[in-house]
Amino acid sequence: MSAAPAQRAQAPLLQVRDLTISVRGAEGTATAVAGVSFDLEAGEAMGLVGESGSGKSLTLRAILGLLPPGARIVRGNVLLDGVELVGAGARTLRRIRGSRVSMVFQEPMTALNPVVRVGRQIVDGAAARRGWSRREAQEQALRLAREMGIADAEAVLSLYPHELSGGLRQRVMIAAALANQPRLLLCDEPTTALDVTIQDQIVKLLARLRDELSMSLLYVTHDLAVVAQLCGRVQVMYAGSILESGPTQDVFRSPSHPYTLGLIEATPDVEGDAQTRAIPGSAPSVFARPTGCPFHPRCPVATADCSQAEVSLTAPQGNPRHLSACVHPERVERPRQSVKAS
Amino acid sequence: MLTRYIARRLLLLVPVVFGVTLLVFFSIHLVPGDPARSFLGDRATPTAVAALHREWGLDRPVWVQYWLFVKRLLHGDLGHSLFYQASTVSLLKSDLPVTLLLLLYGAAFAVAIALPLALLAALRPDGVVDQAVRAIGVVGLGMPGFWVGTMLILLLALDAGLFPVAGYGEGFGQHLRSLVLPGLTVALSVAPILIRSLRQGMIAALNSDYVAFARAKGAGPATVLLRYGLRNAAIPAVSVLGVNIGFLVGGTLVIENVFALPGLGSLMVQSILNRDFPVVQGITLVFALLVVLVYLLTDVAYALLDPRVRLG
Amino acid sequence: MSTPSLELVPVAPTTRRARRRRLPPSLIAGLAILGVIVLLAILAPLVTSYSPTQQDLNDVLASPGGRHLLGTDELGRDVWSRLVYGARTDLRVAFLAVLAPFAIGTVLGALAGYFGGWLDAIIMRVADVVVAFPFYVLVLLLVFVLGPGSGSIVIAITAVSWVSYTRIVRGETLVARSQEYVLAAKVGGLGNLRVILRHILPNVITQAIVFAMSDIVLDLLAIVTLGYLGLGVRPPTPDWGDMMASGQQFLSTHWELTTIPGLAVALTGLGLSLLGDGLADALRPE
Repeated sequence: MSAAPAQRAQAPLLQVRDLTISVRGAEGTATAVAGVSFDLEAGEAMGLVGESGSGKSLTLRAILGLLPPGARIVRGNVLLDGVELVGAGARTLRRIRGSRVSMVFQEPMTALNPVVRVGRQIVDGAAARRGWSRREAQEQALRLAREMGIADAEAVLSLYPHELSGGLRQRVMIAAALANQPRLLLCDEPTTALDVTIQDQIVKLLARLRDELSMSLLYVTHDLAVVAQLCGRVQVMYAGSILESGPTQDVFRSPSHPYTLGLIEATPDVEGDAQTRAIPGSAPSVFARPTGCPFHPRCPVATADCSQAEVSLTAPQGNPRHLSACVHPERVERPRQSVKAS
Repeated sequence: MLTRYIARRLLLLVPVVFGVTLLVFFSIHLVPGDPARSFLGDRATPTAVAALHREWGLDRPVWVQYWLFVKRLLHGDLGHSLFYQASTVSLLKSDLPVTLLLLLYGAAFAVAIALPLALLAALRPDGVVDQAVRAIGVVGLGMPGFWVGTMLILLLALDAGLFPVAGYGEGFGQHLRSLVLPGLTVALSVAPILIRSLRQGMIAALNSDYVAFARAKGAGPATVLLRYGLRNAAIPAVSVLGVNIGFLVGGTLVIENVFALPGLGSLMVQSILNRDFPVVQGITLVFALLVVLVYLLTDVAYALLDPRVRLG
Repeated sequence: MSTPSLELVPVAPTTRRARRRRLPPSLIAGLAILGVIVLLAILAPLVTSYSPTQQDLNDVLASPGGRHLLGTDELGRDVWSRLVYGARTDLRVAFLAVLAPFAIGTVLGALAGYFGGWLDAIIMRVADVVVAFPFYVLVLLLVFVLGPGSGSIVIAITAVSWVSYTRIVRGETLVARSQEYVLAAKVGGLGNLRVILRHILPNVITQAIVFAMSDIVLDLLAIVTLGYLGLGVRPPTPDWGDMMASGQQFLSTHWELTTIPGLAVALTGLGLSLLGDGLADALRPE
């Protein structure tokens, strides 16, 4: 696990400030992402962890301007290489999609067009932009497929998505996302739908790309082990707010938020006592967000003032890079198990 | 494999065709009285009636009668028209091309009208165009096809003189011109259904993950719309069009009468008024087989468009 | 010692009180339009001054206005009266023409879906054959065979339209019959007939009703079309289709003779469609 050393001299590749997204549902309008802020340096891999419904996928989509119908950015800034993306016109967004920032989805079966051959799908995002001829596009597709470790690339490219295995489909999607050589790759739980051995291969592939291409990764997942393996920094998200953030090792070894602790202890630990402790209760619906610290109804060490306090990040352990939104971080115990990189 | 798929579909259609012939066969027996007499009408001399009794085996069990009916069918014998001095088959042959051409016009116009409207409506759901298109659809559903045809005659033929008021004309050029208004009328009756299904398909496609991914990797708007939107939406729409072909054919039947076109539809109505049973029976059979054929073609087209069906 | 409480039997959704919801605007609009038309039809003798069949050969093809609200046709009959009485005829026949297939189709569909097996197979095969015929072709064939008149029209339309209801109800029945409340009822000892009547039908019938609303529009159009072709309701009973047919010969001079009945049909169809859409919205399961 390595991360490119933070380059203090340059501005970060991605700057997200106070990003707030609202969603519209049958029950009305509600805030799904509440004032999220973070930076991502060039060549750095960062994990964004949380349960379903925490708003992590929406955050990714907001960066690309691909929010689902009913979701809107209410407030905030997203700066990519200094260019403001919130409220940017369609042409600006189209220019950066694929070439500066690209995205890999969770379920390749739904993210790939079922009626178009995969070879074509790998290059059609880039071909027009780069002015490739038909043959050039085919060669690029072959090259990309081979780099993704797809054996017998020529045969595979002429197939349709439903004729490939899950792992192959995911490799195809990554190849397509990289066709235009983006500097930032957004990953929305790309390995959740795959089985464990394939998952491992894909994660190793992403690590290689991170190092060889100096590509930044923003990796959304609920699997802490993958984050430990791939990402130098991690943001822990819950009910639309970031509750803890910092270098992966620090956060996992000495978490400063009960939610993070809960996640760590809920991760199956094969070597340890094989008992997983799930966090009691379930994540709140967007329309029923608790007041104060959103985690307090499920928090084992919550106090009365947790339901009143504002969510704001402090550095409870003295390390300015390790931040937590907990009102009482001193009450967070050390984890009884550790998160092993898979 | 495509051939296996077609073969399987054909096999499923066999009992349907069988049932169609059965129904057509039985219909003559629903008319009160002696079927042979109904069939012969004015020419019902005792010898003719007796001959038919023998030929059809009317004193034999029903399934024997049916078998004889099918045998005659396979020899192309559908009887003689009671009104015109010609065999049913020859009448059908001369009128079928008009109906087929009208069907083609109707289908082509329907697609030409429905496609752009559905696309525009789907691009901005609940926008101005979408609401207008849907409103027109609801209003249009309640309008009788023949009335729309008459209104078109009023506006474009009588007032503006752009097209002939009725009839088929002489020569291929006039034929094409005289089919425009009828074709448009047929299209307008089928267009609302087509627009609705195309629009739904497009909206579903545009909201899908694969369109989001296509955009995320940088595909241009034209590529997204055509290759990722339309191509996927067209598949269920083709199916819808095929299923509604029954209404399309029924529409041509009525419209032919409005515009006095010498096709199977006019012939059928005329023959009903003439109590000309052999012709009515023959046209019914042809129409039913036509619809079955279109169902088959729709399935094939579906398989060609959707690789999951033909390879999965 | 407390007695063990009885286990709650799962309750079928229809016995719960229907949730109060705002009525959709299309439903209200449809009811309004249709209400006016139906009211006029019912009150026909009161709102018209002439009999629809009374001819006045001294006053043929009169223009609208004057003694005759909408003018007269080629036999001097008052157009407005024929319009209103025509509504009576056409709406009545349309209602019958949708009720019969609804009833028959629902029963067949419930039986096919519930019992399955050879009963289901036979019903479905017959349905496939009926569907192979274009709607109008089969209706015309049956009208020919059965002779003219509104009775034949209803029978002909019924013989062709039952299929859709059967398919819809069969599908819903297939879903319903494996639901818990049905199994609970059967375990409780209820016979098949009672199960179908009390538990299955109330739930599957809403979709059939929604479909019936759109079907009635088609049936109205069919009746009017048959009237236009001369195969509909027997003259001199007024019928909108017949009015349009005889009006077509005067298209260049008195286009209102064809246009007005057509507008009446279109308006009625619109009212029915809106009502159907509104009903579908209101009845949609949450």
